[in-house]
Amino acid sequence: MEDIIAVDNLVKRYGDVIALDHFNLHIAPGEVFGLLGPNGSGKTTAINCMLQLLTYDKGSISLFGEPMAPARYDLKRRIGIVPQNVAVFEELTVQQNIDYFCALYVQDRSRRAALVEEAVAFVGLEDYVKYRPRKLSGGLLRRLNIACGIAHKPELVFFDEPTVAVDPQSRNAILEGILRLNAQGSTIVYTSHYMEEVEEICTRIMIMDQGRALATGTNDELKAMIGTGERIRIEVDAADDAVLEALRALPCVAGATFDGAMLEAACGNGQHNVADVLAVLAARGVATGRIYAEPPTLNDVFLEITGKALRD
Amino acid sequence: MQAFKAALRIVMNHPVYLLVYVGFLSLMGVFITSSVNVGGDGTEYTASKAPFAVIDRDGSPLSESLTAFLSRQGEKVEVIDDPFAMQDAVATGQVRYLLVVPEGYGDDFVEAARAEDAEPVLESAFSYGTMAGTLVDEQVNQYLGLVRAAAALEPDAPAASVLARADEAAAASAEVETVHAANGAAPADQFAFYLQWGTYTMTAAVVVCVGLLMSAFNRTDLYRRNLISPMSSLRLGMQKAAASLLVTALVWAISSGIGLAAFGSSLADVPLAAVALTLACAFVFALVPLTIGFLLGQLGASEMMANAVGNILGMVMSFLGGAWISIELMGPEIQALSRFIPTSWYTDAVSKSVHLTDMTFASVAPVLGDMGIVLLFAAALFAVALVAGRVRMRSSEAGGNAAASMTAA
Repeated sequence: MEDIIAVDNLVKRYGDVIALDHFNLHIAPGEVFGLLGPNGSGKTTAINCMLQLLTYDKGSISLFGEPMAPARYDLKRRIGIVPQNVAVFEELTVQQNIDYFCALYVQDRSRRAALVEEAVAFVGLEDYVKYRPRKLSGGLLRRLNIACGIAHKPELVFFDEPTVAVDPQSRNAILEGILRLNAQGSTIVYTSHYMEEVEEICTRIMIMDQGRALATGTNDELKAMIGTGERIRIEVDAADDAVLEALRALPCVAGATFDGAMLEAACGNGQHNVADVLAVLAARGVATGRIYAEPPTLNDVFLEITGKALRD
Repeated sequence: MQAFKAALRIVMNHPVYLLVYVGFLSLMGVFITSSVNVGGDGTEYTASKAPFAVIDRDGSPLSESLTAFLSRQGEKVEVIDDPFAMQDAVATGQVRYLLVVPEGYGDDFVEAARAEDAEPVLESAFSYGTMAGTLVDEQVNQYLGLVRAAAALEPDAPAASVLARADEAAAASAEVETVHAANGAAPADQFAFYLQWGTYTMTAAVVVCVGLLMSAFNRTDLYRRNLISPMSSLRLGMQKAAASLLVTALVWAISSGIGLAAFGSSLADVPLAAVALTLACAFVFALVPLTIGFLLGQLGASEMMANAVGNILGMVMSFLGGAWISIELMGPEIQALSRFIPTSWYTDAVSKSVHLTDMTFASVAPVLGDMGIVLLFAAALFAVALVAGRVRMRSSEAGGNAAASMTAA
């Protein structure tokens, strides 16, 4: 199937700063694709280049199999955007705002009325249609921002950090909405620096840093790329240096630490990591309490690839 | 037409601005024009009557006669003989002149007049801010002068006879006839003054409304959001321009309509074409605040900024353009400066157009010339606004690079 987005060797410079460094991106129709990276990693710049809001120094961008250009209004008509900053008219009501943005894409009034109503219901703003944006909470504003971006039922939707400064309830509603949108046939590009969100909804993820794509794959594929298999944490009363050294001597253990209450062992990929660690502790007479075995997170992936944490 | 409709909604969602800037200021223009009596018909002369009060502690025939004389010249107000009441009456403008006649004044005055001694002194107080009190004081002196002369002429005559002679002399007055000077104010000047004063109304109203509309669309996030849409920048710009023009026309129509309703009768002797030309002048002038509002929008000015600029610029332009006070009354520096203010060309055009008696090219050309200059001001401001908008959209605030907007149009 032809890629809905094809970006090849994209280079974008701001003076001496390279915002995108030979950036490549290929997304198939129907995907929920996550662009994950810290602030300033180039996620928004990449989207702005794809949408022709920014010029770029080198490379090519195709959307829907066609070269993208500022005047390709036929392609723009098939795209929805939910920008990072809420972009609505403060002077218009919720309904008037959604209608305005929908009308940029859909001229037919009766069809638009149905689409606006559907978008209002989609984001759960039925009780607020007559409200002006300034009367909405941060979470409701974000929902309005989404409704404005998706009311025309685009084939491809860009969500640029849509859950920043949003309460947990609205955050869940937004993420559920994105999945429903995808189920209805829209391809989603989702940028965030919240790895939990990306893990939760994205079918494929690209990890970015300093304008470069560091790794791309499914959640499991990315975690399989790194040495860390799982992180085992065990409640113990005491663990001296000898215990820690014994753990580190295990082939499956990459590192072991003890903070006075919890012993933590970073393990590689292995079938019997927990059993091996517990055996060492039993042999040293260390009494154990609760045991936690956690799979690696995307932060672990990012940490291993870049040497720094995702939220540094 | 979605952007056009949204733009109009933005303005209509601020009805207070239309009400205050267009309705209230236009009505204020009506009241001010009526009060200055520009170009009134002037067929009858009416002497002004200043309010005054007499605190008569004497109760003599002279003090009563003096009070009666003043009552024929002005409007007598009762004020009680109390220091605070007298101060209040003068300070608040209840009376423009307050006279205190001390006890024994009448006898002392007549006696002094016959003996050619120094006359006793009257206490008086004037209200500041007007010359009316001074004029009443002159009338008091005039009457006492007549009494003095009558008393001196008839040293043995009783007081009643002296006062009767003084009253007789004081009753004489000059005939007044109103004559229109050839270059004096015509009735149509009333409407012209209203339109000239209305430069403030139009500047404030149009700058605020258009600035509000443009600022909403030019907020960085919204501007970028619109760029991503399938509507071209050119179409979007055209729709915003159409909405701005409609708002401007609305302000012009309401303001001019109120003026016509109030002073339309003063245009009875003005040819219809000249009235139309005068109104056209007002519309052309309205394009200047339209471009100022556009400039504010391009600069991303806030609603508060649009209000501040609309009001301050409206007042400055009206004052320096001679819309409120004739420019001839100002110093040469201000007169020179006024030539760089579009309002001065507009006021000139309006003054000329309401005095047109025929509509030949020769008579209309000076008006058209003035309006051409006003149009040039508008065009220059529009060009500045376009440049300012482009510079801003290239700035870091707008995202660092908006070259797409340049090519998308």
